[in-house]
Amino acid sequence: MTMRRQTMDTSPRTGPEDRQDVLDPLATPRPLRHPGHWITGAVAVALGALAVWQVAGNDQLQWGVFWQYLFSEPILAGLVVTLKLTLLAQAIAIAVGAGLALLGESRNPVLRLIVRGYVGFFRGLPLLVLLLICFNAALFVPQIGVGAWNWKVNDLISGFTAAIIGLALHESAFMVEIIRSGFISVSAGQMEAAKSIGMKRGMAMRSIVIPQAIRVIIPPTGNQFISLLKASALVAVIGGGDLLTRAQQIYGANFAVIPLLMVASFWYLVLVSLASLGQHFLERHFALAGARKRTRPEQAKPVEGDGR
Amino acid sequence: MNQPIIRMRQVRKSYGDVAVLKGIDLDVASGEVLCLIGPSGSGKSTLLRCLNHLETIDGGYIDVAGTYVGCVVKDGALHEATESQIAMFRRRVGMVFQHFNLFEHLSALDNVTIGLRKVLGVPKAQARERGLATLEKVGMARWAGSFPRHLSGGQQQRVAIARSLAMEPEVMLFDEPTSALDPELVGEVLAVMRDVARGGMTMVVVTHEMTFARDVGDRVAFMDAGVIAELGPSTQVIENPTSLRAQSFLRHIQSRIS
Ligand SMILES: Nc1ncnc2c1ncn2[C@@H]1O[C@H](COP(=O)(O)OP(=O)(O)OP(=O)(O)O)[C@@H](O)[C@H]1O
Ligand SMILES: [Mg+2]
Repeated sequence: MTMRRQTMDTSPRTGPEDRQDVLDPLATPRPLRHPGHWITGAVAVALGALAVWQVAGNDQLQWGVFWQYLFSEPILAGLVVTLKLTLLAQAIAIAVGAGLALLGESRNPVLRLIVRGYVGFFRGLPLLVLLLICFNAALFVPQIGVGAWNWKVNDLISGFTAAIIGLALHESAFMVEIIRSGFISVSAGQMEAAKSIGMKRGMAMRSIVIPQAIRVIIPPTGNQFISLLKASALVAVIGGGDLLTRAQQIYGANFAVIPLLMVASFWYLVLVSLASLGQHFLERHFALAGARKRTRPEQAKPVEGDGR
Repeated sequence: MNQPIIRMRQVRKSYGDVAVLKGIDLDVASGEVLCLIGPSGSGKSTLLRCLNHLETIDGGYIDVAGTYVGCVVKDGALHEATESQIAMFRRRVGMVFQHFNLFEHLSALDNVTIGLRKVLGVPKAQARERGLATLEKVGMARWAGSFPRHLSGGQQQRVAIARSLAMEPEVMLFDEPTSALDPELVGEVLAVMRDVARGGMTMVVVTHEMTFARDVGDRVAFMDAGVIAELGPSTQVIENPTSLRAQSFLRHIQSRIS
C-alpha cells in the first residue's frame, strides 16, 4: 500500500482532482521515517565513544589510584560528613523556613519586614562568602553566652559547625519562599470550610491545609536539596571535612589530583542520583490525591435526573 | 410559628469605616427556610458568616440554638468564647459555600466523613456508613471514591451539602450555593436543598433564585445597604413587595431572567 506516499509525491499538481483512491482509509497511516535521526545518532555515539576512550585511556587518570581510594576509609568518612552536612542543614532550613514563613504572614508589619530582610540578605549573599563569614565568626563575635554559661566562639565553630550554619542560613532563605508559596496555593476557603465543620485551627492546618500545601512544597524542596548536596562541596574551603575536603587532602599528599576528583565526582553522582530517586518517590506519595487511581471521565459526568 | 432558633438583635458589623450590617434584628423559627435576597454588597454574605462566627460582630448579639455566638455565659455576663468553644458551636451549624470549598485532597466520601471522624470522633467503619448514607441522600453515593476535581460543579456542591449534613447540624447556612454553577446544573442542587428543607432543617439561604425562594422559602428577607428592608412570607415579598427598593430590585432580577 504505497498510495499515501504517492499522493504526497505528485507535488506540482496536488489538488483534489489528482487524489488517488485509498484502499483502506481507516488503517493507521504508516509512520513517517526519520533516516536523518540514524545518521546524527551514529555521529553522536561515535563522538561520545571517542571522548570516553580518550578520557579512559588517559594515563593521567590512573585507574589504579581511582579504585584504591574509591572505597577508602577517609573518602567514605568524607561521604558521611557530606551527607550529614546536607541533611542537617536541610532539616534546619526547613524548620527555620517554616517558622519564618509563618512570621512573614503575621499582621505585624515589623515582623514581615524582618522576614523580607532575612530572605533578601541570605539569598543575595554568595554561599562561599557566607561560609567564610561563619567560619571566621570568632573574629567579630569572640564569645557568646552570659555569666557562667559562656563559650569562646572559636571553640564552638569548627569547620563542620560553620559549614552547617552557613549552609542552613543560605538554604533557609529559599525554604521561606517555597513554604510560603505552598501555603498560599491553598485557598482561604479550605480553612473556612474546615472551621465550618467544627475544626479548630490546628486540626484544620494538620488535616486540611498542610496536606495540600505539601504537594506544592515537595518538588522545589527536592530540587533545593540536590543543589545543596552539590553546593556543600564549597565547605572544602573552610575544611568542613566533607567528601571534597578529604579528596583534596589526599591529592595534596600524593598529587593524584584527577583520580581523586574522579572519586569525589563518582560519589556526588551517586548521592544526587539517590536523592533524585527519593524525590521521585516522595512526589508520587504526595501527588495530588486521585492522580494515581484516576476516575474514568465518563464516571464523573452528571447523570440526568440522578438520585432525585 | 415555632420557637425561634436564631435570634439576631441590633447586630452591627463594619470593615474599617464601612458599616456593612447596620443593626440587624431577625428571628428564624426552628424548621423554617429563610431566604435572603438583595443587591450585591448589601451585606448578605456578611450576615450569614456572622451566624457561624466566621466573622466577628461589632455590636448586638446573635443567639443560635441557645448559644450566644462567639460568647459564653459566666456569672450572668457574656464572655468571649475560646477557640474550642467556638469550634464546638460550629459543629451544630452547617455552611455551604458559593465555591463549594471541598477538600481537594480528599475523595467525596472522605470529604463527608472527615468531620465525623476528626471532630465528632466517630469510629472509621461507622463514619463510612454514615458518610455513604449521606452521599446517597444527595444522589452522590456512586461518586463516593471520586475526587472533587473530577466532579462537575453541581456534583461538588451536592457533596458539599452532604459534608455539612453529615454533621447533623441544627441550622444550615447557604451562601449563593448555585451562583457558581452552569445553568443546567442549578436544578440538581436546588432539588437537594428542597429535600433538606422537607426534612425539617432550619435553613438560611442567600440566593438569587427567586423561584426557589418563593416555593421553598417560608419567608424572604430583602437586604439593602446593611439593613433588612423588607421581611415577610415568601410569596408576598417576591410577588408584591411593598418597599420601593425591593420592587426595583425584583424588577431588575426578573428582567434579567426573561
Ligand atoms: N473582608 C472584607 N474586608 C473589607 N470589606 C469587606 C469584606 N467583606 C465584605 N466587605 C464589604 O462589605 C460589603 C458587604 O459585602 P457582602 O459580601 O456581605 O455582600 P453581599 O450582599 O454578600 O454581596 P454579593 O451579592 O456580591 O455576594 C461590601 O461592600 C464588601 O465590599
Ligand atoms: Mg455574597
